[in-house]
Amino acid sequence: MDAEAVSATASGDLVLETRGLTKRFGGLVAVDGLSMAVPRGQIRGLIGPNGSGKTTTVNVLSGLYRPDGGEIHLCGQRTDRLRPHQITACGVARTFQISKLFGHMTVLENVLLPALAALDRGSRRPLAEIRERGRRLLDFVTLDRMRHAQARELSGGQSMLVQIARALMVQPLHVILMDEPFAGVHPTIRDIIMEAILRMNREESVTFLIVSHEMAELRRLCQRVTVMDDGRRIAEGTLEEVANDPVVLEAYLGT
Amino acid sequence: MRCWVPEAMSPLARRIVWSLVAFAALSWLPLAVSDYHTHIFIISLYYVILAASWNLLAGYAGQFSLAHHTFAGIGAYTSALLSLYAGVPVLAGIGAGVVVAAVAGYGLGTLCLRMRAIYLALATWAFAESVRLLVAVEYPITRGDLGLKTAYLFGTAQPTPYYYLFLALTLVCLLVIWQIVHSRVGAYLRAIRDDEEAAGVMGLDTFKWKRAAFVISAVFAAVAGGFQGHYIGLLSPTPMKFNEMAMIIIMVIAGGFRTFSGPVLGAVFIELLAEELRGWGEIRMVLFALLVLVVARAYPSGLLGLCLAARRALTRRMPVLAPLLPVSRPED
Amino acid sequence: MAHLGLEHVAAGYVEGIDILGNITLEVKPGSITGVIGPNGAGKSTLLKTIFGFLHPRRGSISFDGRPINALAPFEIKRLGISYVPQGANIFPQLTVEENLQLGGWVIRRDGARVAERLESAYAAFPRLREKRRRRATTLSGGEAKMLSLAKELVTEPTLLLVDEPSAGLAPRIVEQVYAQLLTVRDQGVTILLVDQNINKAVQVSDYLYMIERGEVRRQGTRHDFADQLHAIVRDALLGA
Repeated sequence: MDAEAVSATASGDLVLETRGLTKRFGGLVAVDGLSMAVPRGQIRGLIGPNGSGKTTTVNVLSGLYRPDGGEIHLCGQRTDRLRPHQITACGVARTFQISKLFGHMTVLENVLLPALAALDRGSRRPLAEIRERGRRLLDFVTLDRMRHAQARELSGGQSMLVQIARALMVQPLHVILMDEPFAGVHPTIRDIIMEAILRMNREESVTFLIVSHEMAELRRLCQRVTVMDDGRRIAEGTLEEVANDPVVLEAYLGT
Repeated sequence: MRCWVPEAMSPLARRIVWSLVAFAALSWLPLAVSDYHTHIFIISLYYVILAASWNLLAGYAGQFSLAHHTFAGIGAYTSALLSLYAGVPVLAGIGAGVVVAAVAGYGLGTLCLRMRAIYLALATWAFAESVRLLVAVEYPITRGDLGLKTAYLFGTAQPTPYYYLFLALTLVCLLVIWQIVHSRVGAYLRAIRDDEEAAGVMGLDTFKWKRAAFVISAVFAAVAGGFQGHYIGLLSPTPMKFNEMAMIIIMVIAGGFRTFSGPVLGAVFIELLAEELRGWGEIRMVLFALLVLVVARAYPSGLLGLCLAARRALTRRMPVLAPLLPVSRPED
Repeated sequence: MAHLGLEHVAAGYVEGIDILGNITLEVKPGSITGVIGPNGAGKSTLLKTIFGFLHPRRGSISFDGRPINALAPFEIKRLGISYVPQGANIFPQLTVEENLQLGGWVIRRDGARVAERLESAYAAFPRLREKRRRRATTLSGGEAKMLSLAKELVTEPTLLLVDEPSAGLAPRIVEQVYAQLLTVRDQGVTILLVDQNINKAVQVSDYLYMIERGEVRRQGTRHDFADQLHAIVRDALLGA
């Protein structure tokens, strides 16, 4: 671990940490001994050439895949053996690259779902309060007027905004994992997404781990960036630092 | 539903009142028609419960199970065997049947937790066939295809009291299903149906609620099956054949898959149609299959869709009728 | 030999969003022309637009002087352009021979020609001859890629569009695939190559275009690019 992470660990405030994380699919090692640490309140970018294991990493972190080795610590808890809903209960939310909204439910119902699910875990928030928060979040992503629309009728960019509002509904919320939030999204909507991320980070100290290829956006958002290639971490630092790292450049150039 | 019921009542209370009104409204039936027709309506009500509860599992939770009729059979046989061999009173027997079905539903649900679509269908089909064969083969106990006589719940084969029983049962079942569907549980089930992965990642324990859907629907089927067994007076493994499951699917799809009222309409319509066309014999199944194809291809909202369209057309011509005809969203 | 020209081409999948904004490029006869660029730049979309899966919203595409904007893929194939998509684009349950025959679908009525073309394919790729009656699922990754390439050569194209030939392949196989492309070029087939693997693309291409966000940002010969590689990637990373 590098100096920054060491000092963060010393202060005990790492929101996300992996140690030697490994995931295999048959003979293919998608994630190969990945170790990284993200302190609270940071917006971290996760970049790397195609096939470097970024999406697999996010899927393992959110519990959709079981890791084959290593450890994951999220919000102070060991989560590598937990099921997705248990990881969410620790304060982890995520968005997907493709629209994974509940198609036959309305936009508002989609956004409310995490809070409704929390009721099943013992949360006691009244329905009225849940609805109000849902509407505020939709307003935050400028989609309140579409709250009664069927989710499957939304465009790609609108779906991403609803996914974000839905992720923000998770409480407690410590960290959001985002997989390609800008892919194929209209510039106006990109700005809304970036605004939302920056606000949540500033006002609620939400930590972000963002997988993306959109370097211009990452440059504006991320304080720090981790670079993966072939399932391993090959560099970490500010975007300027990694962009000047020959190891990183060679990785992007290919074999 | 609006207008005639005081606004001050809670939604649940209002629905209970409507159910009582419906009960009262439909109670003239046995007095006005023959025993044969009353019997047909009882059978329709039985299928309404089966259709509505299967729709809860398949339409709302997205688990396309092919073993629903089996739980009706489990309810019926458990009760019959207990009363025959252990002298258990009929109502207690039906209760036991429900418990057995719930446990079996829990087991089946657990087995199918990681299965999707076709594998789920195959696994539940295999379960259904296994149970049916078990019942048929163990004829020293169950009398198999020779038929197992059961005690009449009301001590008579006369349909009238059973009509009121089934009417009450159906209304209660529909009320409970309505409550489930419109509660947060309904949202859980629909989320699991639409995108199970996303549902899990949003904090929902998908395994728990899929199992719950299996158990709940099995319980309804067992209730219906248990009481049906003590009405018909004779049980056989025949209603546990796939034909019966096909009928349930046909009723739900023809009525309107994934809606609340669709299965109700579909069950009544198909059952009445089946009786009308009794003279056709097995050809009826061909007709129903064609109906399902037509509905699936051209008019997915089914009978409910037709009714809603008719209501729209009527109220446009005669707006004064609007308060009389229930308002409903497509999901209803 | 084939010549392909694109002038100010714009294309996209969804109304209002252009994946390609303004592409002007030229594929000279007998060359291997490479197109590189970051993810989402529109490289795959470019090939799909040339081959007729998408029609350009603006601009024109001409092949040997003739506009091909509005043609369907099978018509474009008949003109002598073949398209090798990413990955192993073969029919797994069919045999190697059947796959090759399907490659010749648009010339299927000429049985003699198809048979002759199959013989050429086996001559060029002896491994495929050994496995001609085996199901395609039994092929290794490299052999499958070989088959998908051979399949597209059955119609004797003058222009080959290749989409990310190295994607998903082990490094050793990657070498073989590029060697095969060079052989194909030496036999007189012009190649337009789209690639994520910048090193390989520069090694193998005579002329290169770099596209980003749907537009051509840089172009030049292999030598122009070879000196600039680090700078190119660095600029891309910094979102410049």
